[in-house]
Amino acid sequence: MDPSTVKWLGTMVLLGPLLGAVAAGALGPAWLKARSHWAAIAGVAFAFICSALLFVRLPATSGLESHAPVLNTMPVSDPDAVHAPGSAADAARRGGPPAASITVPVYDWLPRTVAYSPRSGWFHVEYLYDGLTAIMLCMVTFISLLVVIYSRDYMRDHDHPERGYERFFAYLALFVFSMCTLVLGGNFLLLYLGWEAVGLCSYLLIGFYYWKPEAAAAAKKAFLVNRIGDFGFGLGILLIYLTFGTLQYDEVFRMIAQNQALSGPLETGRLTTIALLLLCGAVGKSAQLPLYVWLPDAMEGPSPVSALIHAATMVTAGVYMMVRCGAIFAASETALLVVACIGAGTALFAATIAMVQTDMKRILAYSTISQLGYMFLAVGVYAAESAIFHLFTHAFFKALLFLTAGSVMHAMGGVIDLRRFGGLRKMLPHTFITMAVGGAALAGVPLMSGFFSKDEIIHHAFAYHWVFGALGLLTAVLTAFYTGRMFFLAFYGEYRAPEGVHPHESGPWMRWPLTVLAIGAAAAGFVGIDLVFGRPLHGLLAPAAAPFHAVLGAPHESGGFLAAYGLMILSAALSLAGIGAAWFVFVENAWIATLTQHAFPRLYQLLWEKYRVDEFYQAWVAGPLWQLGRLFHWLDDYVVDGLVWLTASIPKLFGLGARSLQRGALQGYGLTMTLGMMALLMLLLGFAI
Amino acid sequence: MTEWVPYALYVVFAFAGLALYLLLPKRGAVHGVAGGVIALAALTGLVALLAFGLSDSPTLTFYALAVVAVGGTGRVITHTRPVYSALYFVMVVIAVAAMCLMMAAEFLAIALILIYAGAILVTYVFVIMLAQQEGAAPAYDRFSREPLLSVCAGLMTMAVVSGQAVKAVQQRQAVESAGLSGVGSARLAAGPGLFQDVEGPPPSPNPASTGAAEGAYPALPPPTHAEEVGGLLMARYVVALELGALLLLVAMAGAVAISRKRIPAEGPEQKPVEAGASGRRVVPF
Amino acid sequence: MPSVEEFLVVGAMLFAMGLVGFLARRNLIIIFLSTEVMFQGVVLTAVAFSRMAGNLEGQLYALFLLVIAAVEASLALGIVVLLYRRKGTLDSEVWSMMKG
Repeated sequence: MDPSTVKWLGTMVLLGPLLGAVAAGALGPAWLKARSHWAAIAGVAFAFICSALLFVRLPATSGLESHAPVLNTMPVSDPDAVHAPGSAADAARRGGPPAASITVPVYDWLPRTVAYSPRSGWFHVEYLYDGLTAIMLCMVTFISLLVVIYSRDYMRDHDHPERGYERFFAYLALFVFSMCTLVLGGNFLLLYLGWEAVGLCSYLLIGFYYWKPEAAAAAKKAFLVNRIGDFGFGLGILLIYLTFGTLQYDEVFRMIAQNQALSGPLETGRLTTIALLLLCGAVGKSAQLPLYVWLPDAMEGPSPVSALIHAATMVTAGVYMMVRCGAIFAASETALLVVACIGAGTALFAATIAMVQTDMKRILAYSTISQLGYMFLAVGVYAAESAIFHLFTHAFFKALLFLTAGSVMHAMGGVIDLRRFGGLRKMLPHTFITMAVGGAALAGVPLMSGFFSKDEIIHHAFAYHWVFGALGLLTAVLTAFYTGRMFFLAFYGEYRAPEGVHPHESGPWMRWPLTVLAIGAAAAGFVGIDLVFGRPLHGLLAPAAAPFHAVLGAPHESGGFLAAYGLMILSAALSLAGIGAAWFVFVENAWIATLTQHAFPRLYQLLWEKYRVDEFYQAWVAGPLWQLGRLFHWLDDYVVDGLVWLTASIPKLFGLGARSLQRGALQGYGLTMTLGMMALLMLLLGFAI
Repeated sequence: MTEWVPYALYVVFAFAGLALYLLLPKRGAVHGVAGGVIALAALTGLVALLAFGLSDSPTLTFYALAVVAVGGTGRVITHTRPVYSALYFVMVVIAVAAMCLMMAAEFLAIALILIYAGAILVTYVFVIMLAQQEGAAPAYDRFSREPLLSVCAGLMTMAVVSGQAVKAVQQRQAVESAGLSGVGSARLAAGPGLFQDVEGPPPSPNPASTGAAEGAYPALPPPTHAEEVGGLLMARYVVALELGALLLLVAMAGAVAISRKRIPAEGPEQKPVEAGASGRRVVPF
Repeated sequence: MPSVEEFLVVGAMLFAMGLVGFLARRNLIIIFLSTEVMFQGVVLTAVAFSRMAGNLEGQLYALFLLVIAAVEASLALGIVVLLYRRKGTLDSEVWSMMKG
C-alpha cells in the first residue's frame, strides 16, 4: 500500500464532500437553489469513487491467519517521514505477510514551538488506513450517496423544493465529510474532531425543521445528551494523552502492547478507566442504555437524515471507535464486560419498547438502538469482526427501512402513525417489496444479510456466556415480531389512508436508491460467510480485531454439525416464528392484539410510555439541574451582582465631592489644561529667554 | 540682543493681555475706550520692541503687517458679531500671507489667501448665515466665559512660546557662529534681507559656495519657488501628499454624511431624559 | 529686513490670542474661527523657521497644515450646523451633558 496514495486519495475523500457542502451552502441560496443537490451528489460521489479506489489498493490479507498484532513498532522520530514499516513493499522484501495497517502523516497542525510534547509536534493530521477504515469509508460514502440521491425527490413537494433545500444538502455533505474524518483519522484528536463534527451535523439536521418546536427540542435533547457522553469521551482522550504522551493510534497501541506508559509500566486500572471513559462517549453517540433517549426523538429530522445519520453511519461511530481502540478495550476485561452488559441490556430493552409503538420511524429508531446493542454485545464478547459485520449489514437494511418508511411518509402526506393507514401493498408496490427485503433482513430471515451477522453475534455470545446468548436469542425473536408487526400493519389488512391523501409511488430518484439498498440488504451478508473466498470481510478486519483475538484466541469453528449449525437453525426458526406470530396476530386475528392489550393494561402502558425513562430523567436529572440553575441564577443576581454594586459604589462615594468639579464644558477643560501645561512648561524651561 | 528685551516683551504682552481682557465681551461695563487705548499702547510697544530690541534692520512694511495681524486677531476674538470676526480674520490672513511673502514663501502665501480667504472663509460665512440670530447679538456673543483666566492662560502661552522660540533661534545662531556646525553656519547670521536677495543673482545650490556671503540670510531657493515646492512635494513628501489628498476626500465624505443626517430638533429648553426614570435600568456608576 | 525672532514673536502672539478666543468665547463659530487664527500663528512660525534653516521643509509643513485646516473647517462647520439644528443655538455652554 503506497503511503502517498493513501495520503492523496484520503484527502480527496475528505475534500469532495467538504467542497460539496461549501458549494451547496455558499452558492445554494443565491444561485443553485433547486439544483443544490448536484453539489452534494457530486461531492459524495467523488468521495465514494476515491474510497473505492483506496479499497481496491488495499492488499488482500490472507484471512484469519494474519491475526498476529500488526502494529506499528517504530517510534515516530521524524514526523515528515512516512513511517510505514509494514508497507506492502517492505513486507514483500521481508517475505512476510502483506501489511495490514498504515499510518500516513498529512501535515503538522501544531509544530513543536506551539506546544510541548514528547513527540515532535503536538497534533498531526494523519490517516490510519486498514481494512476497518476501508470498509467503513466505502460503506459510509456509498450509503450517503444513495441517501443524497434519494433526498433529491424526498425534499421536494410536487417537484418544488422544500424550504431550506440547499441547507439540507450542505449539512448532509458536511456530515459525510465529518464521518470520513472520524473514520480516516489516525489519532484520537482527529477522531474527536470527527466525533464532535458528526454530532454537530446531527444536531443541525434533527433541527432541520427548526420552526417546529418538537424538532428544535429534539435537536437540543440530542445535543445535550451527547454532551454527557462526549464529556467522558474527552476525559478519556485526555487521560490517554496523560498516560502515553501521544494521541496517535499506532503509538498508543504499541505502548499498550509493550505494557508501557509514559512513566513506568502500565497499570490495568488506568487502562480500564480509559476504556470506561471512552465507552461513555460510545454510549452517548451509539444511543445505548443510559443515554439512548435522544435517538427516538431524533426522528423529528427528515427521513433521509434518520436513515443516514441515525441508523446507518453516525450512531455506529461508537462501535467503530471501540473496535478501533480494541487494544485498549481488549486489555480490560472489566470494561468489556460492561460493554457486553450494556449491549445485551439495550438490545432487549429497546426491542420490548419497539413492540408497542405505532410511529413507524420510532419503531425503527428503537430497532436501531436494539441492533446497536447487538454490536456492543459483540464487542463485549471479543467478537469485534462480528460487530463490524453486523454494523455493515445493518447499515444497508436499516438505511433501506428508514428510506422506505420515508417513502411511505411521503406518500401519506407526512403521516407516519401506523394507526392511520394500512393495506398499502397495492398502492406502493415498490416500497412494499423493498421494505419486505429490509424487514426480512432485520428480522433475520435465513439467507438475508441480517441473519448471518446476527447469528454470528449470538454464536459468539453463547461461546462467551450462555446468559448473553440467551438474551441475544430473545431479542432476535422480539425483533422478528415487531418488524413483522410494523410491516403487516402498514401493508396488509384493509386499505386505509389519512383523509385527502392519495398515495402514489414515488419517482425514480427515490426508487432507485431503494432498489440498490434492497439488493445490498439481501446480499451484504455473503461477504461475511465462508462460501468461496473464505470470509473476505473478516479477513479485512483481522488486523483491527487482532487485540481481541490476542486475548481470546482466534475464533474457530468448533467441530460437529450441531455446534456449528444448530444455533443457526435455532435462530432461523425463532425469527420465522416471530414473523409468523406477527402475521397471526396482526393480519389473521387482529382481536388477539386488542385482547392482549387489555389483558395486561399495566404492562402495555409501561411499554407504550417507553418505561417512563424520559419522565424519570426529567424528574430526577433535568429537574434538579433546573433547580440548581435557578439557585445559581439567584446567586448571580443578588450575591455576585450585589458585590459588584458594592465595589462600584465605593469609588462613587469617594467621587461625590470631586465630581462637582466636572462641569462638562469643553472650554473649561481646555482652560485648565492650558493653564497647567503652561505652568509646567514655565517651570521646566525657565521664564527668561 | 540685550538683556532687557525679554522683560520688555513681557510688559508688552501684559499690556496686550489687559487690553484683551478689557475688550472681551463680558458682564458689566464694557471698557471699549480704555481697552482701545491700552491696545494701541500695546501695539506701539510691540513695534518699538521689535524695531529696537530684536531687529537689526527695522523694516516698516513688516511692522505695518505685524500691527494689522495682531490687531486683527484682537478684533477677531473680541467682536460680538461673528460676521465681523470673519472679516477681521480675512485681514489677519492677508497680513500673514504678506509676511510669508517677505520670507520668500510665495507659494504658501498664495495658497493661504486662496484657501483661507477664498474657501474656508466662504464656508464660515455660509454657516454664519445659516445660524443667524434675529435682532441684537445673543447672550452667548455678549458674554464671555472666564475672560480673566483665559487671558492669563493666553499670556502664559505667549510668554512660553515666544520665549522658547526666540531662545531656540539664538542658541542655534550662537552655536553656528562659533563654527561648531559646519554646514550652513554662515547662512544664518544676519545679512541682506529678502528683497535684496531676490534682486541679486540666484544663489548657487551648493551651500559651500555661499560661504562668501558671510553673515548672510540663508540662501534663497531658486526663483521658481513653486517649482521647488512642487518638486519636493512630489518627491520626498509624496506619501504625505497622497495622505493629505485622502484625508480631504474622507473629510468631504464625512461632511456630506454629517450634514445629510436628519436630526430631530430639540428645543433649547428641553431637559435631557432622566436616567433610570422607568424600567429596570442598571445605573451603577 | 526683519530678523527671524520678530516673525516668531508675532506668530506666538497670534497663536496665544487665538487660544484666548478659543477659551473665552461662547459662540461655536467664533471658537472655530479662533482655532483658524491659531493656525495662522503656527504657519507664520513654521515659515520663519523654514527661512532660518534655509530649506523648504517648514513651508511644506505649513502647506500640510493648510490641508488639515481645510479638513477641520469642513468637518467642524458641518458639526456646528448639526449642533445648531439640534438645539437652535450656537452657545457652547449648552453642550455640557458630561458633567459629574
